[in-house]
Amino acid sequence: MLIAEHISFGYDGRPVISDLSVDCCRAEIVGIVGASGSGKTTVLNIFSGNLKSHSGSVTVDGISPREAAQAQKIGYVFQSPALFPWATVEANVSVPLKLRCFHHPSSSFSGSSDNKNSERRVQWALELAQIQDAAQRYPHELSGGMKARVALARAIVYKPRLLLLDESTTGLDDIAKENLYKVLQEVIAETEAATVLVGHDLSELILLCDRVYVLRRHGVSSRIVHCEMIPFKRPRGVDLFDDPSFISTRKRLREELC
Amino acid sequence: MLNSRETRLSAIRRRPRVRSLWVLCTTIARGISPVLLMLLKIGCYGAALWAVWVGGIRFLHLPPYLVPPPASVLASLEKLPRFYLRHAIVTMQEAGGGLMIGFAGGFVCGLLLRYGGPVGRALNPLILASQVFPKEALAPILLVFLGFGILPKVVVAALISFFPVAINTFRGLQATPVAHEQLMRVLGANAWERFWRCHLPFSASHILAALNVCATLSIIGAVVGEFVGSSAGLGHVIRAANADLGTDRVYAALLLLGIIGSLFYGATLLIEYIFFRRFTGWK
Repeated sequence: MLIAEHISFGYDGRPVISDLSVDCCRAEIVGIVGASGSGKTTVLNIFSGNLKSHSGSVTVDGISPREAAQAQKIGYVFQSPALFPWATVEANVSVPLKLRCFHHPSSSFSGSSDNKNSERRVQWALELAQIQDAAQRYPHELSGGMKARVALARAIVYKPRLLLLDESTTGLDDIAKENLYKVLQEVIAETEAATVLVGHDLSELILLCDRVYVLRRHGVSSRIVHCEMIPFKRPRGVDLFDDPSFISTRKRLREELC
Repeated sequence: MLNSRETRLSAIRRRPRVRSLWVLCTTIARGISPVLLMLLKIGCYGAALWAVWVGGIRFLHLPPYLVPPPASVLASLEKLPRFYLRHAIVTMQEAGGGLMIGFAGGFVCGLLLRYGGPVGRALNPLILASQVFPKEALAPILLVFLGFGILPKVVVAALISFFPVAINTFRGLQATPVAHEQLMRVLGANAWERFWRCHLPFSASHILAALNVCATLSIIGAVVGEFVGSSAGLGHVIRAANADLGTDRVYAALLLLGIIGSLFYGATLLIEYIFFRRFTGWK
């Protein structure tokens, strides 16, 4: 679904990422962990088509990320929820369905484009993200965890093939995080989207991902130094944090990260 | 005391007919109370102004040709209502026309500055250059070109209104948060959809603030145009009255200009409240 091979990128001639290769297949969750400033968000921006890599190739479902974005094959949950403050939760989630590209033949959504169908799709996304009770509320009336779930609902409403999550649990308390972990796993199981999750919380990435790449600064730029397979069965809950195998995996990844 | 009042109220609420009447009365009271409050405020401000005005004349011994008493200003308005109304309508037409043209032109220029690429970059110094000299100084030249009618005043009002709208539109359209900008790209939105669904709503508060400012600026433009040369309008009334020391008429015209300014400003607030509240009220 996502294949990135030997990509490099820099800002104003200053290299940020070099020779990065990542792949992610359907219904798989891949994590990229790295220290602050290691270029994690830049990687997601390249995968989403917001930035173009200087070398190497990236394909999403066989096409370039920019074309995939045009065909609404990519869902992106930003570090900040990026909700439209003047719109209700329902209206925010329905924004992607109101765009012209949603009605494009190459869109991932194969149904007809009438309003009823869109309404059903919005309800489905709200229910999956467990935010249906707040459908008529405005973003300023929501907690941080609820905003994150609205952003998730908006990202999945058009059933993207690739879902990108950029430190989506930043600033949430433990209860909200646990709730979001549960919702995220259910959403990905239901949509079967290839998911790339970046963050710096090792426990979170081990809990959610099937594979975790370690992005580490190597000279002036960052590169992947390690890939860890995560063997735990799904669904995974926070009780896994006390598992000896989880602790040893965490320790190993931490050593790779430092 | 409080308990007996509460008991009485609860007794009233228990009876169905009385209860529905109570609900009706409280609903009406709740609806008209902001209006009553506003009228009360206006009344208080008016009374305070009247007291300062009359007190100032009495204690500073100001002669009537310098500051006429409020009663004589109101008498002047009462004596010649049609005269003042005719001139007020002319000034309102000039200011209103200038405001609309200035707003439309400023909005289009703001769009060009933001999205025009090389055209916008070429336009930027021209817009700035147009602001370095006072537009009021253009009024005599406009009079020569466009005559003594309403048109030169409309043009002066439009020129004064134009710049704040152009700059605020430009800055407002740049004010979209980066995450929302990226979101629209990831969602596959085209340039029009990014503008219509994201840039424009985020810039609404900037543009409407410029409209609020221009509502009063346009009146200044119209009056300046009338000062230079006109046969109608409140600026013309002030100029003519000043020549024969008719200060009561000058003050009456000033009072009307104040009322027109408040009406224009109120109208822009009303437009904002009715049509754009959801884009500006969320903060």
